[in-house]
Amino acid sequence: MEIKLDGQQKWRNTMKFIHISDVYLGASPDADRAWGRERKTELLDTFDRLVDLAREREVDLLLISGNLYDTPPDTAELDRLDAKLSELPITRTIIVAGNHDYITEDSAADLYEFSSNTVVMPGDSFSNAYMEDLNVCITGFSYGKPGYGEDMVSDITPQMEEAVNILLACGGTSETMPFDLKKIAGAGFDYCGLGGIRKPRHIVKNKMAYPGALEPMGCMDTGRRGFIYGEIENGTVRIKWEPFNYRSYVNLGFEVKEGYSAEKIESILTGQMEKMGSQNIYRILLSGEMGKGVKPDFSALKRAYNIYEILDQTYCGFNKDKLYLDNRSNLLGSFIESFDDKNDEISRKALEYGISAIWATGER
Amino acid sequence: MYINKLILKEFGKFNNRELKFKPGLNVVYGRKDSGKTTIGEFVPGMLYGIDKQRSIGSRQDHYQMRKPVGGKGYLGKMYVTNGGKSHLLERNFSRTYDGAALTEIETGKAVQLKHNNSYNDILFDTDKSTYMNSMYITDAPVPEAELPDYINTYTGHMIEAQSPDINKENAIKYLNHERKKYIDKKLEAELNQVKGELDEFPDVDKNLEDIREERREELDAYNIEIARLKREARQLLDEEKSEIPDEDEDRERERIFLEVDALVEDNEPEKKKLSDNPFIIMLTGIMVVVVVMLMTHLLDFQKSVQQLFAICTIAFVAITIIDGMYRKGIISGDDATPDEEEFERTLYELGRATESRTVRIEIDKEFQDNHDAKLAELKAREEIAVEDRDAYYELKDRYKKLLERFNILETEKNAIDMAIGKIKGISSEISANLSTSLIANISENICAITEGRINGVSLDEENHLSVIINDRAAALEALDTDSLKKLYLAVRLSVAQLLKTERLPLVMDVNLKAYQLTTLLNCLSKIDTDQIILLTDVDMRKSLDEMSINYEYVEL
Repeated sequence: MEIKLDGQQKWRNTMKFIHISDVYLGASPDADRAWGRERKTELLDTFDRLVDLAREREVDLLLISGNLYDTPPDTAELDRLDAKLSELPITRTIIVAGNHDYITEDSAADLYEFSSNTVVMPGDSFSNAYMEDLNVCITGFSYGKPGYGEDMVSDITPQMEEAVNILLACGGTSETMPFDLKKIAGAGFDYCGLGGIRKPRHIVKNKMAYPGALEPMGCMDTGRRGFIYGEIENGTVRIKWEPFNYRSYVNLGFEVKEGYSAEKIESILTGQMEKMGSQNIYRILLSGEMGKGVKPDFSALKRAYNIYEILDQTYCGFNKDKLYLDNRSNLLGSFIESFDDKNDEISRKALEYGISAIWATGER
Repeated sequence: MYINKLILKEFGKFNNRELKFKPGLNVVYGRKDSGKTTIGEFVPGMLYGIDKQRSIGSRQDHYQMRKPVGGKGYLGKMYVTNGGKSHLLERNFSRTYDGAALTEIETGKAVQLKHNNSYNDILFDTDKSTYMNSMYITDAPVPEAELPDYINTYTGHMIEAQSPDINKENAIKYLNHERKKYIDKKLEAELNQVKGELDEFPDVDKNLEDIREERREELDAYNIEIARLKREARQLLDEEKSEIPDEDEDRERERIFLEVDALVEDNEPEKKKLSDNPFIIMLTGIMVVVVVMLMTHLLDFQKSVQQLFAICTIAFVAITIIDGMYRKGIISGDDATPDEEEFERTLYELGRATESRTVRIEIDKEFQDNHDAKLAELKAREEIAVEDRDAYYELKDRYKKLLERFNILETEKNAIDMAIGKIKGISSEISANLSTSLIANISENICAITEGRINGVSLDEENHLSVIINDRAAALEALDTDSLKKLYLAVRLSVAQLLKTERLPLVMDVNLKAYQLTTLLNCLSKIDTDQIILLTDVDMRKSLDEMSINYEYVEL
């Protein structure tokens, strides 16, 4: 199928685009957490911010390579999208559906007619969108079901000679749609905009990339999230990834030292979270040696900050004599006993290491 | 040892609750949530204390769990009889005031404890880990679905570490992970590179010393030659009493000359000066006075002025003459012999005077050139050798610093290796001692508990347990929950039979509905102990009475 968009500008040598994927509008990450409700709204807000940015930068194309929605959108959601995209005076938006927002026949996305300058590639097939004024041909595949399990994309080739050819496709995992990235990279497209993976990946320089999600979707999505900004000048593509997420999931490792009081631990963590951004969501990983009787109370911290979980992997400051007394018949006791007559530096250290290891890995 | 009485002063939900026990079987009956487990935990708590934080083997925070509800204290008492003697054990569990005391009932005297807050080595020798794993038997603390894994882990850890709570494999993994932190390949590469560069250097000190020695030898040889020439020149002077004649121009071009001192003796007597005669001096003075007076007279000065001139001139001349004569020693009364210092100065001045008398000695130009070239070459070599030496020591200094850093890392790695080696060694010993007998015990017990349905168990190389049913091995996952619970009990009873070394009270807090009472009691009878405390929500009095078993019954 071929879709032609009416040119609004004369043919230009230079054009700009923004490429995003995996926005998951409508999703509720961390729904069971205190910040769950905000996160749902945040996804919409971040997308709106991105559209505003596209308008500011006067990009020619907004490319969305799958999973704009978390589930197939209804008409109301599409109305909102259309309204927002209508704010783009010169930008054309090309959307392919992914494994989350696949387009079935007669679904809202299938039937919807956008008043904005937007094209949603029909489900379950390849389509081309050619923009004469830009001399850009976009080839894309929209999902018609949640997953294919087979490679539908790798054999596709550029559809317009003499034009800038862009491929939009979603997948890359065995469940959704495995890709032969090498084959796609060699197919001759000027740019392959991929989606379906939440972590950004620049696969072939200036030629093939996953922008990743716009916002992290769970505690495993650590690090920044964002979009790809690209420029095409005389057929040469240059892209760069820009962070754009409102908040991040941060694994905050903290090594507790002997002698730290509960208050000190709480205060250091507070300072660190303030420094890194109180809007972020933290997984605190405590390691090191917790002093005897030190028991930090994290309830106030949990109320003040977004703390996903606190993993306490500290071991308590051990009293060697007490440990020996309680364990003298087992491996730990025998280990301690084996150093009875040793006082050299290596033996002292070996004793500490051994006790720490047995302690830290013991069944608790 | 057996318990006579427990007093839960303030412990968990109990407040001043007393429970009396007797030697042999004690059945503590209570419905769900009546506090059976609290009673069960109170016994090891009294014997060994409760950890204030979760330590190895503490799957739950027992300290918090058994903290008295609403009470301020956290106390308990226990009366025991041990070897015919009765003792009162008192323990304060609270974090701030924790402490243990022991009183001998008959004498009323406090017994000094050997270890802080511990009755170990006074009342019993069994350590806490052994007691908890052998004499405190509970159901598996995991959901039913996790039972196969838990039983495997329990048995595996027991065989490897003699404690289900110690994970030897993970401890070694942890240590290997720690070890990686001390591997600095960049540092090692740099160290090897610097070492290689150092090895390429020759012995820089010897090299430099050899060059300097060579220079000294060269200078010595040169000086010897010069000295020889000097001697020859002096001999020549002595013989001819004259200077060596100058050479003609051509010869001068081909030869160079060195000035050397020559000792020339000068015996010519000194002539007497006219000014040394005092009469001449005085006559001269008179003449000066006369001339001045004549001049003043001729110039027609006033008489008084003439007289003044005459007086001044006479005074001046007189002073000059006296001073002059004094200087010449004519009127000095001192001894004319010079002192030692003056003598030496005179000798020095005499020596200086003779130096001006020099001779020229011929030196072969080729010899001099060779000497100069040799010195220049040695100097150049010395400069290079000094540079080499400085570079060597600079590199050596760098190597030393790198080595120091490397050795710090090596120490840590060696310590970790030592820890790993010891853990592995001790674990192997434990396995060798325990595995066969433990598996035999488990087989016997599971066969008894399941009344022969499960014939026994076997252990593979990775310490995974399999059950034998009808002579066929089956994975634990194939067993139903009921069989798994029985297997776990068989494992616990087997561990108790194996590890128990003293007749301490055995506490059993399991769901007895799953077991045949007769079979269970048979298995328990194999554990040689003075007292069994059975915590149950099954009223088993009738069954026990039917079996004519003596028991003490306590209802919560």
